[in-house]
Amino acid sequence: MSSAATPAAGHDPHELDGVPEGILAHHYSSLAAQNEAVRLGMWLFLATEILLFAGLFAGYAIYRFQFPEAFAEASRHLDLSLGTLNTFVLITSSFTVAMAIHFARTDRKNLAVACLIFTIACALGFLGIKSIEYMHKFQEGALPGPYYAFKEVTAPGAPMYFTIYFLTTGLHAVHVIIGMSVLIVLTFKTANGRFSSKYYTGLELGGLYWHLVDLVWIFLFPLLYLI
Amino acid sequence: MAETYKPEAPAHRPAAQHDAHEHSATPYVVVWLVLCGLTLLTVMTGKQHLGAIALPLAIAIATTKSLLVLLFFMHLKEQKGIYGMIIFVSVLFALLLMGMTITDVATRFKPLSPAGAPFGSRVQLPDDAEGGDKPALEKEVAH
Repeated sequence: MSSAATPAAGHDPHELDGVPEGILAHHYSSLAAQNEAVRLGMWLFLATEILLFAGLFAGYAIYRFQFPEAFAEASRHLDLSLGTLNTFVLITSSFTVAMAIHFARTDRKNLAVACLIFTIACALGFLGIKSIEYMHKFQEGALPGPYYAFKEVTAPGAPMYFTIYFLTTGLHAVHVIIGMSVLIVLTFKTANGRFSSKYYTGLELGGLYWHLVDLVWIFLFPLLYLI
Repeated sequence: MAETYKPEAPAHRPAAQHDAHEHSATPYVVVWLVLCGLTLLTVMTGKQHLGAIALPLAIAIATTKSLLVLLFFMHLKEQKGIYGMIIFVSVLFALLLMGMTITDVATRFKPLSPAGAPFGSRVQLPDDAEGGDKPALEKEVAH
């Protein structure tokens, strides 16, 4: 990869000083160009994620419109205090991942690693709280579609509420697991000194994914828990 | 190319990424506190069940929170406008999707809307489950 380390003519020859070996792919003229391209790619991916969730939000809108009473009644059987706690956990994890990137780009590696570990702990906490909520719903029989057996809410449309509840929070939980896995890999890379003020784009992209997980929850929380 | 290297000339170094050491953490802390405050606000107003204003208010608070996350945590404020444009367009299409489907459902001939639970239930529900909006719908069909 010796060609990759050779800066192209017309670009800052010091651009790769202090940047780990093999970061710059040979088909980019400079690290700045590569950073812009990968960031653009990440935002495009996030756009597809928004559209993925948009389908579920549209389904939610249709059935909430058709069964407003059932949705309101079923919503009050969710555990609001656990949902609120999870919202704080996720917002705090979003903050700490932003801080991790901040510390990486100001060359404070240990603080960045500490922030990432805290973020991963928040992700585990979120999943733990979510599984307690799911457990309660399983025990009550508040299950999706034909498996619905929840005696307390019998209004027509209530099974659809729980179908949408499990689909949206389930898909969101999958994203939490993926985001957490990405953050674990990035924690090791940060600890190995891959990210610094010279180069932190990889960490930044992982952070962007985690913020998207937060963004989706920001809308899911009031729409599901506070009807 | 080695002769063009001038390590002692920082003026020629357009920072590989951003102005590293001048980057401040204060905005993150402020945004985090505001996000927590807005979460409390949405919980408090949501508990009141404010009627017609509840949903627009909840969505307004959620949109404000999202904008804060996008602009500060996701650095849209300090980066190229094209990234914001991508998100704007995808949100626009998400809103079109939701707006069009809701318009469809809202303007349907009422008896065409499902009267009961979309999938029914495998478990026998109590007798009062028969209530709901079924009688009203049957009346409209009769007309």
